[in-house]
Amino acid sequence: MAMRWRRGYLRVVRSSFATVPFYRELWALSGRTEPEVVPGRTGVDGGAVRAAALAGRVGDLVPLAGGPTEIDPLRGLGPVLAEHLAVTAGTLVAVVDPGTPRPPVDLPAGVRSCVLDPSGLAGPYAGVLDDVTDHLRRGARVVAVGGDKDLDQLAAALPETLAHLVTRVPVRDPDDLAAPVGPHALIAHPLLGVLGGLGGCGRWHIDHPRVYLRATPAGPAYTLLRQRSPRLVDVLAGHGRPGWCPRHGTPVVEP
Amino acid sequence: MTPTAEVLDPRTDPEPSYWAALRARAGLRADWAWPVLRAQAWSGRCPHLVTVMHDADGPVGVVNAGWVGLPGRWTSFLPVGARPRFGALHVRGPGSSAVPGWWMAGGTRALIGYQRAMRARLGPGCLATVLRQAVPAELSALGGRVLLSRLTEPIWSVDTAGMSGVDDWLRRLDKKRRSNLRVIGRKLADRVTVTITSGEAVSQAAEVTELLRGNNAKYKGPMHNPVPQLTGYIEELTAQPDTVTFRYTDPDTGRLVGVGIALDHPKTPVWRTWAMVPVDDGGVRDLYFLHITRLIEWVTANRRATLVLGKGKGRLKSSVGATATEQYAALLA
Repeated sequence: MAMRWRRGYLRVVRSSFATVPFYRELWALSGRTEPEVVPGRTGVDGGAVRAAALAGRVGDLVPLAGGPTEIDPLRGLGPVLAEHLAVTAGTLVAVVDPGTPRPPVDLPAGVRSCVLDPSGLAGPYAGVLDDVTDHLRRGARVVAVGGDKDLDQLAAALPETLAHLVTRVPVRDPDDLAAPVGPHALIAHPLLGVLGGLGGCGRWHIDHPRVYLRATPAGPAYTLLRQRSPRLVDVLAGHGRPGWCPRHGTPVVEP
Repeated sequence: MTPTAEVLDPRTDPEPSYWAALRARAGLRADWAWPVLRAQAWSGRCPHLVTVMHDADGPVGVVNAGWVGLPGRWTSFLPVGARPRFGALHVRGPGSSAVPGWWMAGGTRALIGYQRAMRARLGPGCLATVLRQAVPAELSALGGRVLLSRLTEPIWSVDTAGMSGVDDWLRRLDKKRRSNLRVIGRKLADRVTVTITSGEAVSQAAEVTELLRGNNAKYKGPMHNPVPQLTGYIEELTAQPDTVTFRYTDPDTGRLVGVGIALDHPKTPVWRTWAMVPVDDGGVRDLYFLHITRLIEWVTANRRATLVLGKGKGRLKSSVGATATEQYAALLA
């Protein structure tokens, strides 16, 4: 498992160096480690990059062959919900976020979704809120994803008899993993999307088929293994270090 | 003594100790600075080889060439250690297609020695050498070595020797263009702020790169897919003391609306790059003409004899006082 995970990462590094202008320039002129791509050039922070350094550089993250330039802050939501909450057809996933531009696109088949701005629940989003309420009344499952305060606002806007039926899935930034959290939670980053979730074992599990985590001198660096464009490799985010879950045998981030 | 060839790969070879002196002697512009060559070579799809010819007294020539051939690459950069199995040396200016990619103290005929040395170095797969931006006198000097030559786009340049300033230049243009440029100058005086810098890595390099990409995209086609301008390359180029960067910003928002880069030279600076926000996306109409005026202002204030405007837009360049010089591409046997 660990070797296969690592091989996937090495493939992304090689391909990014060969085809993506940003990494070509960064790693050729400065360097990187694990792996080195230019012998003797080890770069800064092992070649990892701070998210702030990518602001305004999306054009440089597209491979030479071309590709999309949109950043999806909900990338990976579907697979992580399916893995950790067994979200199945008939469920409504409600994303509560003032900044979410569009509904998630990678939910399992048959799962519906909606987006709510918590400040507009009594205004422009009242109709969407009605949909959520109807869903709960019918006894269908509603999974609400968002920040703690945003989820509180949604609960306050729902009828008291229904609010407790919502499955709350608070979202945590990678630098906020030490704070206590309920039975469900996700790790998400505005640039990288959803990186993993809280497992039943209480550990923060990485969405390892899609995300690679590596320790660098500047902290943990995340790589999206399946997003071809814009390519995001070794992006520094939050604190903690990579580890392995002794129960599941899969990668985790330890706060 | 037959000159010997030192073949350098700027990606991995360090800057030679004699490089600054050679550049000054040969009059090579900022695109030949070693950090700029290195950034450019890493962003290539084929090897970029810089060859220095030496005789007993030191360097006597330098040639920049792309080693273009098969297997080729369309959607990836050149892998470390890879090279074509067979192909041709494409001798061209490293940063500007308006100037030749070679300098030989002994004249163009010395390129024969270069070609011989490169064949020995690259092997039988080196089938030919293609020279760009050659003028007829240079082709005559090469004599029977020229297998084939073709006229290519002319280079346009403005003779600024003896001009006292922009007004002097405007007086030499026809009445319609003169009046048009004066109107544009007045109209845009409050709409854009121009900042001219030299030897200072441009602070909005990512924005500049984005503009340049937008400009390059206009020329992209099924047979022409240029590698995008890379931000690090632009930073290195604009950091050179002999690069002049003109940044045009909106005075109200600070948004970059246009950028021009010129490569300085004691006699013949070259206008290397121009890009602007399209008018439909909030760009400023006629900014191109304002930039030409600013270039002339800069060139005349610094007493340069000729401003090279590059290829294309012949009618427009002619209307601002530029004249054409015939250029040839030549295949050397």
